[in-house]
Amino acid sequence: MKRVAITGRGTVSPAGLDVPATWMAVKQGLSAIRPVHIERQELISCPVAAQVPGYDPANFFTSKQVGPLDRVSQFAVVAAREALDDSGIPPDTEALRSAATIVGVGGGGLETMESGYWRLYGEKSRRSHPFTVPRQMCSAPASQVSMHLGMQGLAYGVTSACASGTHAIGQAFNLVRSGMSRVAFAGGTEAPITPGTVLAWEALRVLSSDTCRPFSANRSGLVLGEGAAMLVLEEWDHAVSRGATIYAEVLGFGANSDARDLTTPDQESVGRAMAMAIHDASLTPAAVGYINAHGTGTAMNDAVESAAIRAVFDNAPPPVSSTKGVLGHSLGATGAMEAVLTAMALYEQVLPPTANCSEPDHDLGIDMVPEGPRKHEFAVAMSNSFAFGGLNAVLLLGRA
Amino acid sequence: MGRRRLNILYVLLHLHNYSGAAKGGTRLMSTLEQVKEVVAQQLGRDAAEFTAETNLVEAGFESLDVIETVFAVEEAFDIDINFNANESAAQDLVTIGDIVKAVEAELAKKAGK
Repeated sequence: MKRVAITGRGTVSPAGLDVPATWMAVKQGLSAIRPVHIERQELISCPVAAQVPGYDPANFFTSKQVGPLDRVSQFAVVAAREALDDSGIPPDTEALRSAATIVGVGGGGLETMESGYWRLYGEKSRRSHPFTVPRQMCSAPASQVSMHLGMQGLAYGVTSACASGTHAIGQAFNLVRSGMSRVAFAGGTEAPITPGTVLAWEALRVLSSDTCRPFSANRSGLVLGEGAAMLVLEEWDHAVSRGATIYAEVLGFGANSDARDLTTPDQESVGRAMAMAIHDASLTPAAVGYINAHGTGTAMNDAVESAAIRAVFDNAPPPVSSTKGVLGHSLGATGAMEAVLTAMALYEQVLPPTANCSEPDHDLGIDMVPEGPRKHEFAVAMSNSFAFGGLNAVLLLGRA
Repeated sequence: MGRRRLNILYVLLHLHNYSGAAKGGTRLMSTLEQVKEVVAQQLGRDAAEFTAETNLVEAGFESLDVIETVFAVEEAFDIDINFNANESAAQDLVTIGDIVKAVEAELAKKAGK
């Protein structure tokens, strides 16, 4: 079994177009949730979202390049370029050419699908754009990342709703740990802020109409977000031999299925996924010094996730925070985004706060870091993702 | 699943006819009867088994079923019910009678407009 290092990070988020801007906002608890601005906005009633601000595809792609790229793939490629640059792996090397690419996505090219259907049913157009299929397929972000960076190793998309990004990293972790790949690019991406998708989420009656307040007694639901996050996972000795900066180590991965209800998470099963990740790393719960929660800000998640954490950690859990008060819930991207943020927390030995937690709900029995960034000495951190359909994925990261 | 959706659509059309008649002055089917029909279709059971006191969870409702009922009655009665799963008011829709109350409140608001 090989040790697995995180040597590159890239993000496109509602707080900015790179990791420094994203991490700065998350660390300071500065919420990027704003009034929503989209085409055909009159069709939705939800007034807020966490959208990527100031993003212009022309700053990242030529007009020829952007043609086959839905927004969901654009975000993934931009984040992957940053991760490559951050890793210091030279472009023309066998290490990069043979790298794997695994990208999680919940909905795929939603903007492409929606504008295609709008043409068909709304504008009664007789023709569909020829790039509709290659733009919208759920594997498009993985294909585009591999093409844009020239990576010819194993590549595919992973889909498990809100846990997609975490499952993608877990898969890549196992590839590198087993020796199948020396380098793997893994992450998640999503671009769901379209009228049809927002309306579909409204129908689930879980969206907040003002902001996201995880673990706060005045919680009001989740806020949709968008963006992408990519990590470079690298065989430890390879990273050390080329003098790479190692931000954190991937220690363990736990994943399972509730096999019960479509939208109500199962506390025992969620706890089992956490215990599996700890066991996979050959550690005990006492070793974990911080938990980056799934923390969506819904009444259901607050209750179930905190109860599961209390049970796994024998009623003495380490500090727990949710970064969704800043970045919203970017569905297939969120797990990867939170893995990057958890790695940063370990690297800087600081806990990002739960933003907007203005009335900490002490009945939950957790320390949700509501006051602001907190200096904290810790060696191991956990990152949780629990998806609709009962699909759970948990990563355990260690200080490098 | 597809068959169940079709059934619910059928009920919606069916209810629509009744509400149309009600507008003409003859109320053929009470709100309670109509809500019972919707719930019966969702659960694949007979509406006669239910009363206003029927507890939805005890009758077999799972996580998404209440919001599906809310959606179905919103469509059938052309109303909007303010329902957010994160607010404590969400806990108010426990029985068939609670759904009926919510529908009648919205119908009264509509009639008052």
